[in-house]
Amino acid sequence: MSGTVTDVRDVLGIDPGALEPRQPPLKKQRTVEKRPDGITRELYALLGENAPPVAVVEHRFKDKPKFLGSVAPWREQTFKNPARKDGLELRHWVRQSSLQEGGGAGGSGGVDGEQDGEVQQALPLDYQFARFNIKINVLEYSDAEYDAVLKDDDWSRQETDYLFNLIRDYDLRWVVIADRYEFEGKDRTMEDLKARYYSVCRNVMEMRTPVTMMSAEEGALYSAMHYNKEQEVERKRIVQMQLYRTPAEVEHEQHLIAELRRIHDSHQQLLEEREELFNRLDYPQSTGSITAYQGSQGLATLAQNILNSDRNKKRKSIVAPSGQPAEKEEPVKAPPAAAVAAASPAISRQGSIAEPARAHGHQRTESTASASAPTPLKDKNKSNIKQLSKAEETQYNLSHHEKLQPGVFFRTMKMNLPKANSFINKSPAIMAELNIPQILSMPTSKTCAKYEVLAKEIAALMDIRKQLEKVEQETKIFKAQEAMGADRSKRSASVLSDVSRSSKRPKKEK
Amino acid sequence: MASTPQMSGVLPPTTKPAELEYGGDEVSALVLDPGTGTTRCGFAGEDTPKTCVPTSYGIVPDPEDQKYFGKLKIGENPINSVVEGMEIRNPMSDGVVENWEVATEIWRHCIEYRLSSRIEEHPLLVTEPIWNPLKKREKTTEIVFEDFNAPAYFLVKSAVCESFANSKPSALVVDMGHAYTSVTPVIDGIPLRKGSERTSLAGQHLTNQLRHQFSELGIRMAPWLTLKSKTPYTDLAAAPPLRTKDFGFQPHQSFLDLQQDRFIHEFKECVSETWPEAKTFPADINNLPDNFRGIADKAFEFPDGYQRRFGIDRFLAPESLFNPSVSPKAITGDLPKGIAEMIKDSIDHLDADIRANMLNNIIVVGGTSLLYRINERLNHELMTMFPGPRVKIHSPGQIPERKYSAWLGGSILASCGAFHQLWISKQEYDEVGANIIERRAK
Repeated sequence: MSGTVTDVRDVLGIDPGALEPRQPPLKKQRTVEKRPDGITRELYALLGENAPPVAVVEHRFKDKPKFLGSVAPWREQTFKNPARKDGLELRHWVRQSSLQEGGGAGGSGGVDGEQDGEVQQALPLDYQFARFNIKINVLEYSDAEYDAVLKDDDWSRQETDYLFNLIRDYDLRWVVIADRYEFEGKDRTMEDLKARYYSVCRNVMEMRTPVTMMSAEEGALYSAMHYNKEQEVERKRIVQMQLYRTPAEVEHEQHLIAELRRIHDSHQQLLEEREELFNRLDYPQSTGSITAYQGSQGLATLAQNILNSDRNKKRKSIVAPSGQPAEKEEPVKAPPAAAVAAASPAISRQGSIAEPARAHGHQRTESTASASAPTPLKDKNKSNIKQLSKAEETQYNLSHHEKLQPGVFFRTMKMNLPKANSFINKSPAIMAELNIPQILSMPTSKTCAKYEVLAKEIAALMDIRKQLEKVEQETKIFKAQEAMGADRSKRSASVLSDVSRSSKRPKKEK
Repeated sequence: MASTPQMSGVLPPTTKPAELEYGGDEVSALVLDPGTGTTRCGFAGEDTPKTCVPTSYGIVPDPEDQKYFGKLKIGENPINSVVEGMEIRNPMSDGVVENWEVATEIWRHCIEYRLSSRIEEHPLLVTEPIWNPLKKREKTTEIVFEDFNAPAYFLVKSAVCESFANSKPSALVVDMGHAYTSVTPVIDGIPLRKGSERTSLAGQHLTNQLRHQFSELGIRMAPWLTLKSKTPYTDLAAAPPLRTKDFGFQPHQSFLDLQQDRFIHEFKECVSETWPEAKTFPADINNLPDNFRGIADKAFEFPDGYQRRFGIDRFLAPESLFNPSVSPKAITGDLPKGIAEMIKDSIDHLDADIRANMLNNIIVVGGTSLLYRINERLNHELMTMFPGPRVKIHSPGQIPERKYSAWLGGSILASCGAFHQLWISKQEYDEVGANIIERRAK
């Protein structure tokens, strides 16, 4: 048995020695049982190992509590408060030991009265509560100062003095000062009092030390003393308005606060969701030419690349579980997306990319075809399924080809567009002007054909315009030359007739 | 009450508390809190007054007595014993002392007889209502120094004491006492005069309303003391004859009124209840609306044995504290403001900056605040008046703390080490005169 236990311990990695010391206390406990005093040994032996059923209680008084050290005597004695100007003596009880420490002199016994006399002299210095006697420093002004800078039409000297006395009495508690302010015939608000006090302080400070000479501390105090009464009155009016809101206003406010809190709480979640969306929209940007991917071989490589980069991305982003199957599908769709995106990033994905890939069975155009699959399908159509009429063929967008190019590609890629540089550069602007998206959102064979025609016409028109500009430029030059020399007029006239002929043509076409 | 020095009971008695943590320094001061109903007196530093004596006194006419023309009876037992010709009077009027000779006797009785203390040995702290006029304050000072010969003395506004007792330096104190309900804003221990309000809608008003209500019902309000025995009955029409004691003389009417007050007081404590919501009390209690929810009855037995169940009518008298127009006994003269309106008026008088703080620190104390659910009502009224700011009512949970809040605050103050520099000493009084009170205790 014990062997198995150690094995288990070994397996579990428990130190076999760790559990050993548990046993000795158990043995000890057995031996500790002691016979209670009130029971004879014989009777106790009869009880055996069980505890006695009846508790043996001795009727005895509690032991005297053991105090640490001796009892410190307390002594009633008089004390003076240094914060008082009169010599009021009050009596309180002081612990003897602290009295000896504090007083020093009063150690050598004697009657209370004698000792008091000695201690009194030592104690007042350190009456502990005297330090709470704190008075704030309120600025004081002299008569000369008052006459120089403090005169005010509204405030008499007496009233200013009265105000400053109140301020001193109530330690700048403005609520109380305003409450107690009763000066004959004057009804002052708290703002009036504050404005007067601060202006007095500022004026006196400025007079004593000019603002430029003030130390940093004084300067800070000086600017802190600035009091804008109108602003303060307005502030209090707003506070009051806020205090006396109607229940409807309060409810509205609470609703707004709850809404704000909700928005705030979901903000984090919103950010995460947005990031997730950005990750989904984030496709590899390609700057190089797309010709490398035009063959099926190239597309396969591209698909592999995108798959790899997508995998890396997915590890980072948090994906909802429901999104996973969609993600797995994505590599299939991704290559065309990337390929088209390489041509132009501004594209709606589902419309032009997924559709040709999925619906290739139905759509046969001159440019789009899949190499092997459509052929047996076509054969089957011919043998088993009824022959489609012309109308049906157009309805289902069916087309027949003499020769099919191998590989998967986009119909838009196979469009026969003008290759001229001028067209490639300017076509986006022109297309935008005509409200035609540069990448066709629905590139059916018909649209593509129309698009090709349009592109050709645009190219032709652009060509003509270029010619026209060239000729006009020449005309200008010749005219200038003509003005310089009359003998060249004959030649320029022949050129002019040329220009008029060529400039008429575009107008007709339009 | 953790703030009283005595209650910091965690420390073993052998250990001295840390000086600044404790902040107290006992100078064996006495605290006297005279009110219209009772006069509370005790030693500073304790959490309840040692003695609580009715302020009403009895006087037995005695033409030979030159001072009072009668023999004074002071204290609970003397005024409640049947003495031929004894008239019950009250030395207070308007919440402040009117009859100084008797008031002095009562105070002396409290200190010397009830506390067994020598008055000239202890500093004395006296409380006063906020509306106490200067002359009466000076008179108090004179009595304390001339008659009592106290070594030191101070006069504190009871509202300040009450805010201290609730450990708040700034609060709006609502004191619902016997004669007056007062509202006093206190800022940093200084009461504001302009925001303080008072009304007589208090304990005495309730007693009078109930007395009127009972007599309207036709209840015989014979007090316990005059009855030999009682026979329980429930039908007022078939009331058994009263079995009164024969004293051999007719006790004075004021004495009988005092005795009536005693069972009315019991009624207030046991049966009266405050309507907990503002503005929903039925206008006509005899004609309740159909959708009115039921009210649990409470039974009360009057001293003569009449037993009656009180339903909605037990809300009537307390309701008149908030809405004086529904008083059972119509109030003569101008209708006073209800208590809640009074608090609103007080708040409106204050500076806009401290209003929110005051609303958040409303202290409700006084014996009448013990009426069942009165705080709930007050809270509801104030919440309706101020839907925006936070309204919080603080009221001590312990009954003695609520009844004796003013005394308790005085006790805290007088045992506070930093307070000892404020005492007005005999020396200062001798130098300046009674007017010193206006300079020192503003």
